[in-house]
Amino acid sequence: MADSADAAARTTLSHWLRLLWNLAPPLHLNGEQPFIAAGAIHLPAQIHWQQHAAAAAHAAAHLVYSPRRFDSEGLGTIARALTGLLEDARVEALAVRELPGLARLWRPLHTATPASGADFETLLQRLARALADPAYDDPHVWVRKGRALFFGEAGYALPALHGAGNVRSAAVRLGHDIGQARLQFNAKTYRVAPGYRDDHRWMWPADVLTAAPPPARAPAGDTQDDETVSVTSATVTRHAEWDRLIARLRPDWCGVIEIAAQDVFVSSAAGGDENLIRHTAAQLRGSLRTLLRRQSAARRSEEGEVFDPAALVDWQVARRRHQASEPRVYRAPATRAVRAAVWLLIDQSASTAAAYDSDGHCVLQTATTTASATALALQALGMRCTVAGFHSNGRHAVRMAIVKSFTQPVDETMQARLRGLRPAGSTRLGAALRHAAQRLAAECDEPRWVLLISDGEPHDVDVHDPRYLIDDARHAVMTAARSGVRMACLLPGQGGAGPARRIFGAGAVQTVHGLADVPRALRRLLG
Amino acid sequence: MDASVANDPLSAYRVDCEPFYQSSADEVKLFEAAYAHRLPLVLKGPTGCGKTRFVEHMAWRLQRPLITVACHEDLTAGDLIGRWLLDGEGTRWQDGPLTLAARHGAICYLDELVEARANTTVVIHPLTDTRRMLPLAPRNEIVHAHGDFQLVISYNPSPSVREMKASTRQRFCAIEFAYPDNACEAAIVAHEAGLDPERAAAIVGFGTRTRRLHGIGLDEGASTRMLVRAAMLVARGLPLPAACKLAIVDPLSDEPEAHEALQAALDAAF
Repeated sequence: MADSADAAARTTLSHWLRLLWNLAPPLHLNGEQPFIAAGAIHLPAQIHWQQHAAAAAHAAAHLVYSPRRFDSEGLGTIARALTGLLEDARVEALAVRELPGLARLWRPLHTATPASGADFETLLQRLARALADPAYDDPHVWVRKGRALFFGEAGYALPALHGAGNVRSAAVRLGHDIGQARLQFNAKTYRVAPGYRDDHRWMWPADVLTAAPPPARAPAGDTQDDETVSVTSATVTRHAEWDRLIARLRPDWCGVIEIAAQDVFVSSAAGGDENLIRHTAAQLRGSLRTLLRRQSAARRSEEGEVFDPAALVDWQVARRRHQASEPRVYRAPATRAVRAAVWLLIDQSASTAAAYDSDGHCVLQTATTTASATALALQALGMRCTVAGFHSNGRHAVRMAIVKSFTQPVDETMQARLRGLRPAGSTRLGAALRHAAQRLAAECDEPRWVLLISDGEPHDVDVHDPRYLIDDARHAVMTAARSGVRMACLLPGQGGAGPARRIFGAGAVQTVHGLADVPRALRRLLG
Repeated sequence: MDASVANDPLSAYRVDCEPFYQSSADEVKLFEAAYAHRLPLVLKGPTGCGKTRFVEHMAWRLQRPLITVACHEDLTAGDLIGRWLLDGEGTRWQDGPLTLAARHGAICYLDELVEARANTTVVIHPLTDTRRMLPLAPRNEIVHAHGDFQLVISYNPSPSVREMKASTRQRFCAIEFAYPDNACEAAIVAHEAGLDPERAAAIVGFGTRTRRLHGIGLDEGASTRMLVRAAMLVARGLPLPAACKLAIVDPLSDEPEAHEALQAALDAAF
């Protein structure tokens, strides 16, 4: 639950920053104090909307309005702390000019008053408040001087400091006064206050040395090898295979071992993915809705396209006999909702470990994301689906990992199991298709579809004839069609569609170059 | 029946007063050029960007009646071309909107044509090539299009809607619409809602922000129509944030994250 709340908070914040400044910096909820490193915003791990929003907006304001670096040459620790403070106030003032409501977010977090004290760190907080809140009046001479330097003669609306040079010289002048007053400052224990402001590490290149990379959480079970999955609880189903050389089915030739897929709960930056999946699922509903429509036998209706001749005769007869006439004289081909059953089959052979895009996703990840969005859309439309991954290691070991059965919901467990699929082994496609078709044929729903998400052609370690498995899979597709199970194939990436077209037929294969292509591809496949 | 209506079957479809339309490029000139040759037109653009208003404006400008059909999935060919009806005497043919426009010379505007099924959209094919005719199979009649007849369709290209078939697509010239730039959109919003330019600009500023979530958290950002509605509420006395919440934030999305982000952006904007 914590993970999903975490992902939701991150999604909301990233949407919000895009709305405010069209920014999409990576967001990490993993620190104690907010900081900016390498263009990414790091926020406290504990979820608190106002603190997070204030911190995220402040950090994003730096990304929008601040120069990339400040020159630390010749600046002492006091002048650097002051430079940070003045730059914080400057970007906030610019942000508030563009988005006035941000002031309501930041101002309540400034709580320093003259009663808080007059040591240097407290004076910094009082100056920060005096710069952020025009209604706050601080009697301290240094704070007033800082405010006058910051705003100049122009009132409290806009800062008079423009750019790094102005900020630096104002900081040096204010720092000089602190030195004169012999106020102590310990840079090692200093924490920027209020707590929503980042620690300025991005300003000073030399200080970056202390910045630790965000702690990567070790994904539990990430190293789990699929081969270690216990087969004791698995069932083995025998399937025939088509041998093209003898033009016969070899009965009970392949063994499909059905296993439950393993969960892998990863708290990685999956927020963006989940968001993308949900968005794609919403778009997929339109494509998949075609599965809901089926024409039933014509019946009589009060309105429609064409007259029902028999009904017209009845109507005329009734009229001439001065009887009440039946108004339903049209033939209406009514559509009625039907419940489709879909088997989403994911090819998880070793070749799907190949890189798919520049973001480091592999083909299998793209396939699981596609399956996830499709399953979500099918569930939203009230259609049932099974999601399964498969790979093989010879004809006796075609492993089918059931990610979600017909009766299970699309939920976090399914997502976790999808993440748990690992590329391994080969692609004995015919056996997998026969297995899915056999299981689907037992369902009474109509229409029944097997949708394969695969990267290319079938292959297995004990088959050396390149055409053998293609012909077998083609045979499986045609046999399934005769029992009312239709099959189609989505090909992620650049792979050749030739073998898939031979297996499924040209009209039942679509190449997709990203999740955005999926709605259109499915509409073409199923429409 | 009114005598004028009897003489002019299209009288109900005439556009009497000028519909407000703020041109943002040379679309008026393009439309006039296409109309001069009676070339079928497709208007492409996001929802609520002014496609329908543009057609109304052009119908007024060209002094042609305008027959609009909002297309949907259950629209049948009969809904467009007409059908036989029963009355006391027997059967009677009733022209559909497309037949009416073709027979008497109007601009027929099929809004969101791609929503209709393929077996419906094919009825427009003979009207959109050099034949310019409409076969009425149920009546065994061929209607040759009136010299003033023009077909205009609109289409909102997005991944969540059907694609237009190539055989339909290639019959049309196209004008691409987008949301106008901020200054132009603010002027439109101010004019339509009767609001002062400053507050109209503020609403447009917020509306433009919502379009940044297009394809990420939202199917589409706020349309110009939404912004006009927010402005109307403001002109009536609602405060800006309340009006934007009512007309923009709450209708735009049901997804909690996107909705919360929109609400927070609204809080930040005013």
